[in-house]
Amino acid sequence: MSLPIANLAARSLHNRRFTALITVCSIALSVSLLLGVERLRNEAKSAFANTISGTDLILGARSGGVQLLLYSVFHIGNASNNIRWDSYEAIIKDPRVAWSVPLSLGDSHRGYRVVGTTAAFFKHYRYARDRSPELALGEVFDHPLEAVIGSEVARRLGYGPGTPIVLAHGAGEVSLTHHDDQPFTVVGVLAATGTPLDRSILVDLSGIEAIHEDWIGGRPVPGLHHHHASAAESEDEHDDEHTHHAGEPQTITAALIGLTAKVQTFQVQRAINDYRNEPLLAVMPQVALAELWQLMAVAENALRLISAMVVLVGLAGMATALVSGLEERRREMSILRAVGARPHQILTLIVGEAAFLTVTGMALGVGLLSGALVWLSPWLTSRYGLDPSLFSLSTDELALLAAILAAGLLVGLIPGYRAYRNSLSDGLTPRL
Amino acid sequence: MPITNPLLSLRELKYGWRPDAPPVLDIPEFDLAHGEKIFITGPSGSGKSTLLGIIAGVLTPQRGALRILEQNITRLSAAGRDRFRADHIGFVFQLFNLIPYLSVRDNVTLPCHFAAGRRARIAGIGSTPEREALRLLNDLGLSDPALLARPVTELSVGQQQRVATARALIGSPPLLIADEPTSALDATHRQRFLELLFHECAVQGTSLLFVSHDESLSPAFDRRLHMNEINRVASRP
Repeated sequence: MSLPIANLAARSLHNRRFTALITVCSIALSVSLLLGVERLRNEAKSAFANTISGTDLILGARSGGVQLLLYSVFHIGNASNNIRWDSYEAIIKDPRVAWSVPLSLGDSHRGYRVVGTTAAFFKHYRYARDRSPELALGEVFDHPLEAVIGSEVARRLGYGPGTPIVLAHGAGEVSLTHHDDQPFTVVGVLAATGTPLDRSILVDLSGIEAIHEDWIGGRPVPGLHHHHASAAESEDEHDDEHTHHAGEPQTITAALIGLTAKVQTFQVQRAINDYRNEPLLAVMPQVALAELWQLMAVAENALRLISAMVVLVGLAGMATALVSGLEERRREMSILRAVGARPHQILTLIVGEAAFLTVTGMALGVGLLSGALVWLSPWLTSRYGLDPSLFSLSTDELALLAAILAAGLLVGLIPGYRAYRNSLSDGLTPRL
Repeated sequence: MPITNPLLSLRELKYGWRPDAPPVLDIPEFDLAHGEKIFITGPSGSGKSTLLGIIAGVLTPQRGALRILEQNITRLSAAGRDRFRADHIGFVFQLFNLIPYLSVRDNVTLPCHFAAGRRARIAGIGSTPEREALRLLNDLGLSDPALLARPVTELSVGQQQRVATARALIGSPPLLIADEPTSALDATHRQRFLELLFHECAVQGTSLLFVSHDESLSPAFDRRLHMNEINRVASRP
């Protein structure tokens, strides 16, 4: 674009700055929506993908692979069934199993999920490319009624080492059944991980078992006091269970399993799925994640489509503003023609305005999004464990912006071509 | 009667809105001398606008030749005609000649951005577009700096027409086409405007093709022509 045309376009736009401002704002909003959706989508994906690493198989009761992944690792939804401890022991006896971490879910404290596990969790659980959970304060539990809490639990509830906590049955914020006869004590606080671990309370598996000792079928049974010693004496059939040391559970919800060699993953998975004594399921976390993406793809694409549509609506608004502006600018165009502007320069003038509006709108949109993310980022991080990058644009986003600019130019061709045609048919005589 | 070495000459020119439609313009001969001031009149529909469109190069005649400065305009491409017009012809219209968002001075210098010929002529006399604009505005009675600083939309119609004249004349084009430039002015302003216009055309040696319904102005011109004297279509009953 030649300088006089650029200069004219700028002055002309300044003359119509109110319309231009509204157009720029609508483009900015639509661009920030599109980029925001894109960024949160990617962020959510990477947060999911970063939550589990280094685990070869997840073991649970037979259900769906995605479901098992969601409840065992992401603490979304509940397990339909637990698995028996003896099944778990049988599975991990397999020499191909290098390590395993049992998980027992189902209790909560003020809305935060309680995970019964063992010290093996701290040794083997990995997130975000091989990072171990680290303690920010205190130490790992080594007593049944001790707990290690996630960073968000500590921050939101103001807990630290020494705080007593009472667990409730079920995962809700409000629970009617409390294990208030068996308070736990916080002994450690984990550093933030950006995973559901931040919102978890980790206790020793035996602690979970201890508070559920008198329960059957998920409910406390009045009058049934089921202490190890007396039970072993009175009921022979329970001998098997009680031969292992006190505090070992009868059931767990799921387990993370690491193998000695990754090539054996499929074999071990099949062995678990074919386990005779109980219907079990083993899934590879990456496979289950891929399945999850597939499930989410429809919703994701719908979301992207909608935000792309919003951008198109924004650009269509620009076309409308430019086209309707052309009628009142016909005289301006005729004058420019009379002083020597060529029709293609008139076209350039209009398309240049569209380009300017689009680029300004995009810049404002990116600024708006960054501002919104700065403002929302504490909330996104604490509530959803999302930590979107604030100011840098990824190559994908740059490609998206380039596509928007191209669309803006194309849309600008509509009024541009009209003005071009008008300038040819009107000639130099301004139509009044 | 042919003029020797005219600025502009039309020969056997025919124009119809469509090639198969009857022509609206059929001019066997029309010449304009260098520095001549000609007054053209005629009723609506007599082909005045069409004639101006052809001279400006925005309409292309089906037949005949249009020569300006001995160049056959009808042979030029659309781009060539645009360039030729920008360099050699200034326009003043009846009303609304100015770009509302440009200052008085920027309105006057506007053609210099599009016309290399005008820039070259201004450079040839050792001036700049800005200086020329101020000189022309001053010559046309617009020298008050406060006035020049005002948005063009706040100027009176008479002032606007003088700004438009300065713009048409910047860079000394050989031809100025004025299409009803005085019809929005009252009698006193009309006379005053015409004086300034004549004066400036004389200073620059610019030929003037002045189209108007206002016969009272015609005596001031070198020549007065009615459209039916040159256009065969218009002269038919």
